[in-house]
Amino acid sequence: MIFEIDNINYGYQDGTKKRMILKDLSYGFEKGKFYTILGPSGSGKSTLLALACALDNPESGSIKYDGTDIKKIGYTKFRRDNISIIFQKYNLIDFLTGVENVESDMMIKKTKHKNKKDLAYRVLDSVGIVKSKADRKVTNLSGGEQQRVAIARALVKDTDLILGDEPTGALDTATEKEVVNLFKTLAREHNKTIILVTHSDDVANMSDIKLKLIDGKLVE
Amino acid sequence: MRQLKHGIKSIIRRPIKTTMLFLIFLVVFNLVFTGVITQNSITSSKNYIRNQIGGVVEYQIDYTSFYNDLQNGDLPDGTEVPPISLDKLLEIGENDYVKKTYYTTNAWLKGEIESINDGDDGPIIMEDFAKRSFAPTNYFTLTGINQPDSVGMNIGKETLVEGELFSQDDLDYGENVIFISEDLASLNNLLPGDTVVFTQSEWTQDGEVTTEHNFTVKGIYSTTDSDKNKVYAPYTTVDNLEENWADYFTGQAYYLIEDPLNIDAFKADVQDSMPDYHMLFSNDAEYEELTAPLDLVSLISNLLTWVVLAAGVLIIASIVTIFVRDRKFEIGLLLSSGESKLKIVTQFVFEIALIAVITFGVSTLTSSLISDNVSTWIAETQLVSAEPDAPWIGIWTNPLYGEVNMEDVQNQFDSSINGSTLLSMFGINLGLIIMSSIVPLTAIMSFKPRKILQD
Repeated sequence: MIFEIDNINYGYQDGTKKRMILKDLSYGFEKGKFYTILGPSGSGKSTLLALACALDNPESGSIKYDGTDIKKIGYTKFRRDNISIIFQKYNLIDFLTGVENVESDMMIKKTKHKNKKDLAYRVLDSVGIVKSKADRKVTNLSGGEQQRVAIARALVKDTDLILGDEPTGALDTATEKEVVNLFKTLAREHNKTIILVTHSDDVANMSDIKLKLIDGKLVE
Repeated sequence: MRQLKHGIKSIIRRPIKTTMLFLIFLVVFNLVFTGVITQNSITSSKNYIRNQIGGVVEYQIDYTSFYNDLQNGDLPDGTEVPPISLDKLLEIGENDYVKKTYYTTNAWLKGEIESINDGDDGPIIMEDFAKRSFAPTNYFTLTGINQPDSVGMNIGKETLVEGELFSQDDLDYGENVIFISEDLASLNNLLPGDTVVFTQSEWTQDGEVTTEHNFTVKGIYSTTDSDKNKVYAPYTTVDNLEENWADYFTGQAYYLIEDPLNIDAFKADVQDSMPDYHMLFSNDAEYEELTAPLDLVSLISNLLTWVVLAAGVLIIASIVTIFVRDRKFEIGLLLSSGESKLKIVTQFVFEIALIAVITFGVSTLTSSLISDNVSTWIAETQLVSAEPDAPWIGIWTNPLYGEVNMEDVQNQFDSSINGSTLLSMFGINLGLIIMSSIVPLTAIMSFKPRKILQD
């Protein structure tokens, strides 16, 4: 298992009552597989993803990456070196161009590519962003184009684990299919583990393993 | 370095926010700059006045306080002021601020000239400048000094123009050598090496007994003082002439302070060790009178500078808070990519510092113009108000205190910016920016990436 969720609990304080969202949730994710997590609104999908991305702490239990508790790795180091995240909204730095946004994550990870910019252009091109668009400020790109840049940003980090929170939510059906196929290729040909939270049954149907979050637990 | 690249891009690509920060910094920096330059100019003018008045401090007995206390019954009848002791005045002279200690004593003698050079050995009455309407002419004050030169020679009021200074032997053995003014030398056709006979009279039961003392002219000095009749001799020589009529020190004592700006420090240092009713006098009244208008301007400018600094901290802190809040989303994104909070803070510090440095450069030019006008106004209005009717203010209480020319004081009121002013301004403005930014920027350290990205 590349990524294991081990008996985690997480809840919100709802007035005087504590509402548990995730209850003794455990699951192991294999390397080279494409997972989707489905669930109704408020079921805790985003919370689960935030915990998996080390953006928040579980109340109990642990999350392990390659057998090591991510707490031990260090949340910041884990986010920097081991995972790529694609968010529901197009999370890009607004004063930078598309290519600069992609480069930014390489700089943070300190990847050793000699020409980071060339690599960023190539990855952007692979998700359908040509150079002329890559050089535009992201605020001058459409919603779909911005999301492709966000996906390119995640891909360029070259991590074994890619986590996405509704990454195709803003894309048209054709582009959504292209992007999901790209995830499938990454899982099969590049041995990456993809975990996407989604509402879309179409996306879920294209994944290797479809998981549902029901009553705070993941079920296949 | 991602932080530097992003910092520069953020500055360039967010021109409105950058300009806003630049303008706020510019206003605050200019006001602080003007305040500091005004303070510096005032300090330099005050230092000039202090230097002009000079670094002479006189050891005196405070008879005014003594008699007041006596009259008020604070002292028992018959109390006498303890006299100045030579040991005590020399002990005070050991203070680090003191460059030289002078003590003098005077004798009043009739002068005659005995010309050895031309063979005319008949006594000729030595002429004086007959300034004393209350005393017979041809009488001279012999001032005994304990140093090879006079106090006046140290403060630029007297200059040796011919001959040489007293030697240590002259001082130690009480040799009969003198300095006379060039006016007196010219009037009596005297040169170094000539002899002057001073006659001392004493009234005894047998009538007037006169004793003649031959003195060799050792040096001739020029003086700015109105008293051209003053003759200097070694202290021991004059003290011997007086035959120690009192068993305590009766002369005058002066301390020449290495740096006139340290006069107050020197006085504070030694005042407690002095006997009651003994004091050090440094002509503070004149100094304070001349500097009072400057002190008022200094107080107002100081107050304004502090108000600007305080307001500046609040305004800049508010702007930086808005600046950080505005970029919360970017911070969340960077955190989710695994950037450390410290590096994000570094980027923001770099951005603010870069704008501040650019603003600082511009403000050195603009504030120079502003402070020029402020300085001109102060020099033209406030310094003139300190000036009395006469263009020269003489400190008449003692010729050892200097004269202050208000035109020169105005010239000293210089608003130019030098290296040390720039450095101190840079320090102040940097401190201002750090103080203003520290709270909003450290708030980043408490940001939770999930919360930011959910918002």
